[in-house]
Amino acid sequence: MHGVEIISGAQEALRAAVAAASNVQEACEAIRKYYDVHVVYHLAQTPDTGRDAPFVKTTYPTAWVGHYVLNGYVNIDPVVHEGFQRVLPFDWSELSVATLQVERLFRDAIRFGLGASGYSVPLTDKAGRRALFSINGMMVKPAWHDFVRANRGCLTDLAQILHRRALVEVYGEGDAAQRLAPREIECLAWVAQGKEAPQIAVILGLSAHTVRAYLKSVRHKLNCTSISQAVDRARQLRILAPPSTGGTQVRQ
Amino acid sequence: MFITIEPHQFSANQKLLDAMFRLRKRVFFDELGWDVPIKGDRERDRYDDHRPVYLIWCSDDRRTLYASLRLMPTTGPTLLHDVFSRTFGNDVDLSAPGIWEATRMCVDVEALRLDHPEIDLMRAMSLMVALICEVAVDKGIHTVVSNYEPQIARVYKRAGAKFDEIGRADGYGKRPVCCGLFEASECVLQQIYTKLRLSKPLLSGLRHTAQHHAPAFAVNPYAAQARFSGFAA
Repeated sequence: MHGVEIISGAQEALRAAVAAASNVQEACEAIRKYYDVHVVYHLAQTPDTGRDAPFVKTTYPTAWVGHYVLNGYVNIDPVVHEGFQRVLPFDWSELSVATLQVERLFRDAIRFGLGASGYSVPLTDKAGRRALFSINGMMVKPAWHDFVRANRGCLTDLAQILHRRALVEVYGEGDAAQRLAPREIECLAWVAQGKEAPQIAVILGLSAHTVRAYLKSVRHKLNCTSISQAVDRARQLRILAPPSTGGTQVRQ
Repeated sequence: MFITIEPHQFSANQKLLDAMFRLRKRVFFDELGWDVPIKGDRERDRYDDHRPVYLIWCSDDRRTLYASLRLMPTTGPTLLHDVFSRTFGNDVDLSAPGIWEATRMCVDVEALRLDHPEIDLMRAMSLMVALICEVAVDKGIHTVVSNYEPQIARVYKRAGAKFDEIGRADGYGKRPVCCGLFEASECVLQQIYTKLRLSKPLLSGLRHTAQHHAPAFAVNPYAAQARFSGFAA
């Protein structure tokens, strides 16, 4: 919560599992298993997706999904309707719509074994595609809020990784790796030499927070789940010189 | 009052948003001479069509706008990436969940003078920085990339903000423009509250971890004062 989160090994392993899952459904199951919450990934339908059905993957019980579809709940579900309009992550208790129909929807959900609490992360990528990542849990506030507060950084990360997995599944290809900035390459080169963020900060005359932010950006741009994976990837892409040459000279 | 306006609230806040586009034209086009797209007396670019979040300071009846800025996730299309990279270079082009971009921060000095003569421009800018940090911490955003004028850096520092300048460009407008990476954390937010002598969060109904906040406020000698102490920067 303070600055860039220090990610535990378990969370890094979870990110790797999500990235390596053979499909989005399996990735959702992995997140469910780790956090004991239901997971929904919903890619927005846009004119250019060329799909006649929305791309939704969920760990919800089949019976609930059937009931949801049968009752046309997708037409009134505020998580979907308002959620796709929202930009900042939100707790379901922040949703403004409160009609009798919606109340019935939430009551039904609980009857089918879902939790009373939910949290969603709206996603957007450089191509402007939008998706919604949601979790649903049995906890109630304040435990739920504490849970979200403690894990939202990791959840947002996972949501983006899941989004990229989904793009591969839907479009057959992922986002092209984004160009790294000179400073990002510099930070990564120092990591490759075994330096930690605070040391790099001193070398570059920046705060450790800024260095960590650059490294987070590198990881995201190279679509990696850990910074060591990002170093390997950067070497493959010849952004960093391979270690065999004895150094990590920056190429460009 | 300080509010966030997300796309699902745009239609309910049309007048405020319109006032914001007009203020932006006056500030960025007329005063700063920036190369920004103008339509009539409004400044509006394509990122405004990309469903950003606006952070707004307005009168309690939402009729008068005092200040505004725009917040966007860097995982999506961003202004600093597309536009400012020409002037800043690529170093400002960060992209990751948890890193957001704040642009077009501006203050309506006239409106402020009429309704809050005790608050000067510097204090107003500082309050907007406090607002960004508050929203960021509440939403799990750990870093904010933002542009500002060089002389404002001093004001932000004095307001308790923690940031590194990561780029500076001449020739974008009449004056140079800086780009900074701002840390958003509970720790920085507390520092800002203390420095600005704010006794409670700017956003009403903000669900803060009370145990974190209570001690900071309890020792604040200005806690009993009104939210705006008019402390001149």
